[in-house]
Amino acid sequence: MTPPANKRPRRRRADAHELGERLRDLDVLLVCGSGGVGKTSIAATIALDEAMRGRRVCVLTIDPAKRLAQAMGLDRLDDRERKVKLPEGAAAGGSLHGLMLDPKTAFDRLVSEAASTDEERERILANRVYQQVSQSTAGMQEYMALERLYELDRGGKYDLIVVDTPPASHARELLESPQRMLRFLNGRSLRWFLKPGAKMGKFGLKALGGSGGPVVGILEKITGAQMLRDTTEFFESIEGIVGQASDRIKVVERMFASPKTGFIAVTSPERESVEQAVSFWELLEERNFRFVGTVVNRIEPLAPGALASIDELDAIGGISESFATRIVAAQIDHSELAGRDRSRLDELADATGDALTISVPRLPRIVNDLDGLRELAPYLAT
Amino acid sequence: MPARPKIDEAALPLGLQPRTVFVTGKGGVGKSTVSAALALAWRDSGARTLLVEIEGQSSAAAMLSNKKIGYTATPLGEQLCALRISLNDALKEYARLRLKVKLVADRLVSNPVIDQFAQAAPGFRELLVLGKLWALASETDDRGRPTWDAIIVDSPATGHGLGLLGMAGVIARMFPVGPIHAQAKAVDAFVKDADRVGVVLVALPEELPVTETLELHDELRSRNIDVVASVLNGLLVDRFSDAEAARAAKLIEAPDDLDPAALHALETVVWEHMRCSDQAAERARLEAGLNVPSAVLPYMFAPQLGRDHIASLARWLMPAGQERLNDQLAGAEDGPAAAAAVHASEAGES
Repeated sequence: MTPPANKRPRRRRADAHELGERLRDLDVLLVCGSGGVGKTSIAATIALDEAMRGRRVCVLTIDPAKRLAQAMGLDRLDDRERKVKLPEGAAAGGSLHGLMLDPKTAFDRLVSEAASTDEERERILANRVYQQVSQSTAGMQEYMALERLYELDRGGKYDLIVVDTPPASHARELLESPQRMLRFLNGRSLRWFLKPGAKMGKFGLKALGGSGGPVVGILEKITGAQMLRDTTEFFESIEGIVGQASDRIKVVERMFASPKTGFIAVTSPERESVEQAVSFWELLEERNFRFVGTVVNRIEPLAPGALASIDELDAIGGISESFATRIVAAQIDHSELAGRDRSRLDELADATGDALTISVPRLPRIVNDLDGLRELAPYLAT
Repeated sequence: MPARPKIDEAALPLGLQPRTVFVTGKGGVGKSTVSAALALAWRDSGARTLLVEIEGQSSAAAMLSNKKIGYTATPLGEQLCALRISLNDALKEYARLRLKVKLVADRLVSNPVIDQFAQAAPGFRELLVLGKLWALASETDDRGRPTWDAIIVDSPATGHGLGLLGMAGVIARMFPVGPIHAQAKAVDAFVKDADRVGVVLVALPEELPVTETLELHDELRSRNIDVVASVLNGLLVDRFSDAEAARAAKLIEAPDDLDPAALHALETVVWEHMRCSDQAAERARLEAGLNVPSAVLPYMFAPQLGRDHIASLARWLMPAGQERLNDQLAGAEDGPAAAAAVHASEAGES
């Protein structure tokens, strides 16, 4: 993952305030990363901080920590924008809204808006395959987050929209979700092949690559007539909305490429997590998307210079030799982690070009309220 | 499953008879690590063990071996194999079973129409994965005994994991007749067969993972899927007593009287002790909310987990390791020196 040392000078790790500068001219910030790295807290901190500086900010999240959600006034999963009360000291004009996305509601709305008649809408919403698909198909949550983002952006009410991307997904899935959605809608072409009842001929093999009939016979043998029929009906029922939905998907996809859209990766110092951030950066570079930087969360603080010795600690009043011995053991354990984290940060900075590498130390308590977010803020922007 | 004489009951990890387990939990809690450790521990207690990865989600086998893992069981060591399920292979195998003509089935799978159908048809993918697991759990050797005593499935994180486990039931209800119904119903019965199958929940001793684990537990129970155990991963063993931590906290109130190295050292004491009490509270909350056997695993102070660490975690999962670890966790109050032994981390070798 590290480029040859002679090709690229080792970069100084970014000062936090550079992040603030790079966020100033963005309309949309997508915060990406795998689950369990503190992505929601980082997204919320950035949103809060930008609002405190006087921007109108909306943070879009899926299923955040309950207490964090409550602290932000998002106690309900209802897909509506809710105003968050800013702490004292906010600059004039600043505001913060939060929206907890419900992918199913968002998908229903997409269908409702694209359907030309009430009957069409009802028919789609009532289809059993639709009900299943709208909740569980891979990439659907990701796409719906983008769809909602597009609506908010078009609404023009906000200077900056921060998206906390869905928890279980890799960044790549987010980028690919519009194409997946498009492929899915294009699955409607299947309906020509999926007329149930056709029999597999004795020599059906011949026709496998060609006309539909024999394929359907085989498929029916595997899945049964009903699964075929329901799936076919589903694709027939969405036929009317495909055109409009496809246009929309293309617009959403173009949003990625806008110079006003930025991406941030959040990682832990674990190797897998850092490697994912690097490959995400490569992916964005390839497509010429704007990668702002990586936030490496929960790094171990570095000891200043040498570690304290047993004698030195023992000399302090009220510290026994046994206590001092264990303190030194703890120091050694923690400084090993700190050393690892520093080399990860360097590797990351070397491997991601002009992008920022920002480190946030582990805090004593888990961040789950506005105060916690304020504690994080200095590490992200000044 | 009746115990085989060769299985050492006293060494069974989590006190659990070998069976098929789905290992799941919130993202980032160490599902793959726990899966790999559990596989080693079951193998070491005498079970013929298979570690299963699902394409695109997991890396458990890589923690035990550099071998490339495919759709057929690859030996990683004595009585231990690993296998990776990909959608394509599972589809091919299922089509062969139903069509009984290999060539037709293989052509069928590479047909773009069918491929598109498999991607788009709801739950088909999950059903194929579960079906493969069912087949593996039902496999027998030439003497008619089950090929595998223990199958460990390194499963997707919470939401997707639940989607996977519940999908056969959903499909069986969605399609009340036909071959898919029959398959889904049989697979669903397998997933819910408490004698053969269960879920192992993995959590970290932090608020969100614990809350999510409790919710997942209730959700699984409501779907009649058996949760057999929980593993709390990454627990710090307190090296310091309350009095010692209080002393350190007092000293750092006057930072100017300390040199920077001593200040940092004392801050580490305060931080570690505080984390330990937070973690103990989360552990209590988890165990109060789950009435299943629960194991704890110590936090490993290691820059990167290697095979030695996984082997060490496997020993901690066995009853003797758990007993020793719990003694040390409990003993921290009156004699914290013992805790240092865990950190030195020659784990479970009593």
